Amino acid sequence: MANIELIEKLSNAFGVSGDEREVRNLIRETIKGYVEGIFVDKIGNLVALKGMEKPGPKIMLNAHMDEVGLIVTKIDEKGFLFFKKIGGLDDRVLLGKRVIVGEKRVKGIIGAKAIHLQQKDERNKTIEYKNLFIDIGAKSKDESEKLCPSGSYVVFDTQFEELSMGKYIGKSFDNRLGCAIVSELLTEEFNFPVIALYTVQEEIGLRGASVGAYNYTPDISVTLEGTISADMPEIKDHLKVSRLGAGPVITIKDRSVITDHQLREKMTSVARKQNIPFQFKQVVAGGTDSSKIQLTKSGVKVLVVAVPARYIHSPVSLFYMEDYENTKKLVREFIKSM
Amino acid sequence: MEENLLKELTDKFSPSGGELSVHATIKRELTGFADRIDSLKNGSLVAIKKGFPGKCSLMLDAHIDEVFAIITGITEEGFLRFFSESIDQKIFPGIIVIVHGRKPIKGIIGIKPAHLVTEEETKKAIEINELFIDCGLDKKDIEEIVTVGDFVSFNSSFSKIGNCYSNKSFDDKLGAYVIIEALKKLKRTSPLVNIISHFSSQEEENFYGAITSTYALKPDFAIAIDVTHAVSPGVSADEAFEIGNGPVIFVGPSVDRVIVNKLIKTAENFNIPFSKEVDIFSGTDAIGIQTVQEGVPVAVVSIPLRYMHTPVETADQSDIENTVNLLTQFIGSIDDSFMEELYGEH
Repeated sequence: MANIELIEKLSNAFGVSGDEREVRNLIRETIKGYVEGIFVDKIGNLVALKGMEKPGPKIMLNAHMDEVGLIVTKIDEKGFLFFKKIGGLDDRVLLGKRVIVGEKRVKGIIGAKAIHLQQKDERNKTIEYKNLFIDIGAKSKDESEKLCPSGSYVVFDTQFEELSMGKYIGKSFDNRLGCAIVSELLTEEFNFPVIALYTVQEEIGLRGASVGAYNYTPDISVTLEGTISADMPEIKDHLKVSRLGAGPVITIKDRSVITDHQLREKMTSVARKQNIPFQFKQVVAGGTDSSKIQLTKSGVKVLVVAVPARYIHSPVSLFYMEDYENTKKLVREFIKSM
Repeated sequence: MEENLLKELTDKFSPSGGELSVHATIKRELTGFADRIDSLKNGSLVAIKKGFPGKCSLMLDAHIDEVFAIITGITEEGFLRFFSESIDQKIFPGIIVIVHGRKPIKGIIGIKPAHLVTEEETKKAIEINELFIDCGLDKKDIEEIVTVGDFVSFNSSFSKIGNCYSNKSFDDKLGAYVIIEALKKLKRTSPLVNIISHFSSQEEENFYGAITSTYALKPDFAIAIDVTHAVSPGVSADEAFEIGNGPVIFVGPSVDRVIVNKLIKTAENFNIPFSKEVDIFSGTDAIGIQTVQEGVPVAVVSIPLRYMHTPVETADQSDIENTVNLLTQFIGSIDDSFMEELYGEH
């Protein structure tokens, strides 16, 4: 059974690229009884080691800890906050949303001009993020600066919950679902050395993974992700990327990597043998840490497996617990089959 | 501030035509503070406090209906299509809503992730008829709960933001809150006039509730308590009001000069900060009330509100309290000379 409490905590945790501390501490607390060594490297990646003395190929399970979000750039005279985007965020999901700002976790709102005051052409035009602002109910620049100085990180104020019949909603399923699966797998025993890598700054260009496999370099790496499921109206059938309920999404190629053919075939044959449903990622979209891990030292064979999630990189996304369970099961059975 | 009351009023969903959902809250709150409380056949609620000698009646009006969307279709995959006239289509992507079907269920309005969106696409707002609600159910399951025509509300998200409060439907349950709190303050007093507190239905649908209730209740004069736009980046002081500067008193041809002057004088006498909104029409129930039967002199007092018709409508605590204060003091200072002046005008 999935550790829903863990998924909930991870989803609700505050962790925009560059400010992954809360997520890292949460993971460290979760896994510390199940691994022999935990350390944080020089740029903030969390590495955990399990059964390193065992013979056989070293397997790295990895997931990025960061989420897309915003960062406060300046504060105006009246105390409104202006911001930049961190990671791939469509301007169109920002308007009228609740957010949490900075170290003090201050509640705020991304303001939206009332419909009554809009000119006709404004109704159909996106408001660029540069013209959006956060209202924290402050009366002055001073008041805002004390609460949320420029440089404060911003996440969406969205609480994890079950929507209906095994469908869950929340923020940051990309990639706290990956973090949760890696952490859950660490509680199990394997016949191989397992290196867990939780990376920082994936959303701004796979920064953490560029160095994350350097200290402990595996033979095989499996990247766990929450990936795009665009199985929704208005999207053509061949552009849906993946489908909710169709099982783990196995990447053949994304924008950053071609996964190892032999390993992938092994994984799919394990899936077939164990009757675990799976799907191949349908569109060459997105990039993953696997592309950086692949380049470590003389090279690492990599795979990417993901839980399909709708509406990622927005204030609220949705996944199906059965897909999560099947993804975890597939990776577990794959490792056991080595 | 009675935070819990404000939360309860605004958390409840009362779309135009479905105002009964907040009647119980208002009845409970006003029990002991009014002589009669009745739900009317038009969906409004009225509470009457008798005055002494009570020869005339003042109607305090706030509308309790809120903006909404309506289900227009169910797709083969179980997604819901919807429409709204009163909500900006641009705020829908990425929000949580409640679909009020056979039972209320949550849904989310998602759009395809940024990875699949072209630069060109991001510039254009997604039209409401391309959006959909995802309740995580397939067609068969959702059709057992939802049908075309069911109403959709924002998910409630009451919170204190700095010195402000924020939730859906502050337009105009803030007005209802103000009237309730003013009546509580008037408990031990006996005003010269009867106070008809009117919590109106269907303001967002051309003031239908206020028009029909005014016919039934026959007030001698009326004050609508509503919200007005507050300043924020992109909304200048030319078209809106600063928060924290008190209630806004409407001045113009469609409101009564004598009542307006009395409101202004009351604010000045009791050191209540206020602003004046000068315009032709107020866009409130006062428009509907003014022209019922032989006519009713009206005034409008508004609370500055940011982000109207969104899930995050935001108002300043001191503005709310000062509006309660202004109404209370106004009623307390109604005297014979004011009534004479009011009648002398007409």
